[in-house]
Amino acid sequence: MDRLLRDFEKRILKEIKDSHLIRGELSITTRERLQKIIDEFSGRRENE
Amino acid sequence: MSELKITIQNIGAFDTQKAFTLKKGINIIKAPNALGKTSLIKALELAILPEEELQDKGHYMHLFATDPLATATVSILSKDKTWGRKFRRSNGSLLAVGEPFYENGGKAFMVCFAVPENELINLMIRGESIKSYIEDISDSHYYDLAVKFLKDEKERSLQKLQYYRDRLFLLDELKGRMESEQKGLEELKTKLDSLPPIDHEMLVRQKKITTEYEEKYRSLSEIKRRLGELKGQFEEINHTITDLEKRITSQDALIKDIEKQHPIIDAEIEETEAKINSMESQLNKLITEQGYVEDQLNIAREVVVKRQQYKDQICHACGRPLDPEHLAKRIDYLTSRYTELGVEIKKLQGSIETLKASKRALEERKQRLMSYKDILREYKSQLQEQERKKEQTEQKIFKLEKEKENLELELKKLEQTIDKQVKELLDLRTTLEVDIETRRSRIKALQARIEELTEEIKPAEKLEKRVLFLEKALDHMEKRAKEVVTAVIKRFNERVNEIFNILRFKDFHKIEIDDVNFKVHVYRSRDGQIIKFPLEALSTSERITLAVALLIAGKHEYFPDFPFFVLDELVTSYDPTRFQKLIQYLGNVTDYVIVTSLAPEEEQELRIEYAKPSV
Repeated sequence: MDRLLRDFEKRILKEIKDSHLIRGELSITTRERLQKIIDEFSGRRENE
Repeated sequence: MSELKITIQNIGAFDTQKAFTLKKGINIIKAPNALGKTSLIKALELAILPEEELQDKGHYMHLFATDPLATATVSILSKDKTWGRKFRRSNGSLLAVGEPFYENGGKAFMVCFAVPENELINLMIRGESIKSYIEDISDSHYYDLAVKFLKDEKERSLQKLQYYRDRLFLLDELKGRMESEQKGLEELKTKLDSLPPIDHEMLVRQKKITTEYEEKYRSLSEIKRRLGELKGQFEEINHTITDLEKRITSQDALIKDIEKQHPIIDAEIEETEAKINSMESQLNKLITEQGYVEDQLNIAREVVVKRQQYKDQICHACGRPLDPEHLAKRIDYLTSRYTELGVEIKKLQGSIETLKASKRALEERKQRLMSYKDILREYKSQLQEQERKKEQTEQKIFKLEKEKENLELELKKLEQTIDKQVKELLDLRTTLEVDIETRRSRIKALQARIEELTEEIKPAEKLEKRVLFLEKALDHMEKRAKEVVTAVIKRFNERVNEIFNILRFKDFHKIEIDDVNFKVHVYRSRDGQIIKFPLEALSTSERITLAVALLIAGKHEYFPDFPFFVLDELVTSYDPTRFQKLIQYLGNVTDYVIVTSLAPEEEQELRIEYAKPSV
């Protein structure tokens, strides 16, 4: 689980860093991309 | 990477292309004011900062103010790498063409440029918390954004999940109902199975008999209903007939009464007519005679008048001599006759009127008689019709009575053949079978609903997993958001003390950034005691030295591969002795240490002095 969460952290952070913030907030497209990442990770098994 | 050639054009003080060589070690940029020391540092900033930061920091715009249409360039040439970036002003903003020289240039600038606008140096000079700086370095605000987003997502997913949980609750309820229905069905089946068996043939026969009995019973009921209706009609017809008979009798009596009074009414009318005619003829004669008498009387009266007038002795009418006596007698006679005739005429006229009235009365009676006879005929015709109906109804009643008798007989016979026990059993079976069918259909409907709901809540499992993952991810991210900050502080603390030890700066026993308020504290030895001092207690010179030491610690820790460390003269001027040591130290850990230094006014251009760090 720790590894999964670390991978998730990396992916999420990269997505946020690479995105263009609007007045310091996440844009809709970034949010959609982040949601997809969540879907992907929540579907993974813990030992993956 | 021993030498770097930096070419600059149209930036700050450099209107034309200008090239500088940086050598590994310490590069001291010397020049009097306004000859391009700061412009060279700004050119390096332009080289490393990402485009969005260049735009955010609007102050870079003024670098191109002299010629807004010109393109500025910075290029860096080394033995194994050539890099360049162009800049120009476009619609009031700065446009950069080309990637930055260093990938994480924004942060490298925060850590490796000890220039007057450096955030850490300024915070330290003011004695403020360096939280914002630590957060920028540690990316914690990205973590904060991630945490906020994950919280929102968790909330949204939980809301959705709640909907599914409600559906799940309904599903459980339906399953419970289904179980109870199935249990009920089993009970009914057991009950049905426990009923004593009926011989098949008997069952069929009984069923047939029962069906036939029911059908016939229904027919009998219908017949009874029809009979009731017909009997009602029959009574009604009888009433009508009685009524018509009464009317006929009464009408007949009226006719007879008239006929009795006037057995030969037509002859009577004719006779009266004849009498009237004869009387009228007589009346005409009398009227003619009265007219003649009146004429004669008028003549006689005229003769009398003329004789008296003309003294005539001869009648001018008949020419005979006039006899006044005779004339007087004649006038008397004529007058008397005229009066008699008048009386007779009046009398006769009265008789005629009486006869005429009598005739009219006779005619009226005749008319009434005729009408009575018409009505009588109508009644008789109606009577005939009713009697015909009566007969028909009687026939129908008779027929139905017969049918009724037959059916009653048949039903009696069937009743004798119906086995009551079997019938009861059959009824019970039928009831149970109907109940079973009803339950089955309820179970089928429930099953469909359950399947539909099961399908509907399928995403719930996935959502449940999502929520579980989000809870863990949120927890992890919140921890990490704190950890990255604490880690930065820890590393800064370790490194800065290490640097102070290496450089043998004995002023402080220990330097520490606390991880609660993010303030820098120092520990000093006083009379054998270690005392903690806040940043505000230090001199500006000490604060700046500490700030630059922290920057060097940051570079060490986070940007060991970044080739530059810039020290502006304004920063170093506070404590030249200490900064000499720091610069020497930096020369050993950084490829190119760039230090600006004010040269005497008589020097006309910018030059770079190179120095090797002492080991």
